[in-house]
Amino acid sequence: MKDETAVITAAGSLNHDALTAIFDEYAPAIFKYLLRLDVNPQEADQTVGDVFARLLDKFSKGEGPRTNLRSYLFQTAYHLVVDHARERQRTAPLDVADTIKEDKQPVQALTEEKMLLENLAIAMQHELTEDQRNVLILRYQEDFSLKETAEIVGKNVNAVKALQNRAINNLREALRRENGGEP
Amino acid sequence: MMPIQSPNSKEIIKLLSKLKAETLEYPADMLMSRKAAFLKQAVTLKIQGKGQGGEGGQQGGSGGSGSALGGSTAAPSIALQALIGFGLVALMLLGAYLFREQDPGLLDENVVAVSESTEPTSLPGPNSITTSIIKTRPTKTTPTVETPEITTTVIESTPTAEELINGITVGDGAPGGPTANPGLHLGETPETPAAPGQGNPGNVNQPDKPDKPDKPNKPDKPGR
Repeated sequence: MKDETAVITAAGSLNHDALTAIFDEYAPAIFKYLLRLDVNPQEADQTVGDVFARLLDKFSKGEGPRTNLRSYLFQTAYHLVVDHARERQRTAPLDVADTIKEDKQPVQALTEEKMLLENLAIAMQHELTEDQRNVLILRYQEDFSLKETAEIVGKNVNAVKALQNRAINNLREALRRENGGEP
Repeated sequence: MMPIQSPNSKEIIKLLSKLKAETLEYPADMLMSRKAAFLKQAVTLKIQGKGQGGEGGQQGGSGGSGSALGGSTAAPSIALQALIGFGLVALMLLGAYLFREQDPGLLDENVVAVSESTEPTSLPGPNSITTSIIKTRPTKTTPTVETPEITTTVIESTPTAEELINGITVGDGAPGGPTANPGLHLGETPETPAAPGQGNPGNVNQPDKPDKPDKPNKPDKPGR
């Protein structure tokens, strides 16, 4: 987004064009992020609405972000998902693989890389903790920096680094087991 | 089928980046309706904000929050209305006090008119004085208070002993009934002859004790 600070300032006074630009820029990205966190499309759509409603509420009170709007919106979305998960008291981990499986071809028809991706998605579903999975999604699928990821998940940078390394090691081990123990 | 080589950490990171493309897009109809709702909400908030800010500008001059200023100007107007109300009530009470003599029922609405009247009873007696108190509901008009009328009937001739006996024993068999009224004065009891074998046997043979003479009044002691 060009000149993010100016857009945020204009959106702070509920400027129509600025708000439209923000929505067009970030709503699809947040929707995808929510799908990666195993939120179904209908819930993801509602959550996107909640995220932007909170942003409007903050702007109308003269509050809200002054910089790094993207990180702020993803953080809000992450908190809403966590709150929703707590409300439902869901015990199952975030199901990343299901969203990928929907449009999948049969396993036999997949190429080697496709099979790797499939195995990786399954490993993310079963082998990682929720924090590890969130950190990997934010770092390598949403391209947030370590600092931004730390802000979004509410941890310090070192904790995020540790989560990231452990998550990658767990995935590597899982893929090795899946391939018959080959190193 | 060839076994897949286990990737190292860098390859895992690459694969993670490639997973991005696997995610579904935001459906266009959902996105448009969500955007419309968002912009509508923004317009609503903007209108509300303008309304509050406009009130604040008119009431309190320039700057500041509209809602806060609106609240500060509303408080004195309520106090003024309450003051006017109390003043009106005080004026009404003062007027009622000043003109209380012209209309005594104005201030004291709980006036109870008491009227005493004499009503004849079904039991005629020598001195029948009946007093009844009728409480009436208070009215705005001047109540009429009736003075009690006392009707006294004095039987000039006292009944003889025979009449008294007949009045009790010879009647319709209902002592105390209308025909059995001996016509005695209040506090007197009729004397009935004791039948043989009836009454208190211990008192039959005992003569009546003479009445004790009244003691003379002692003179007042001096010094008291």
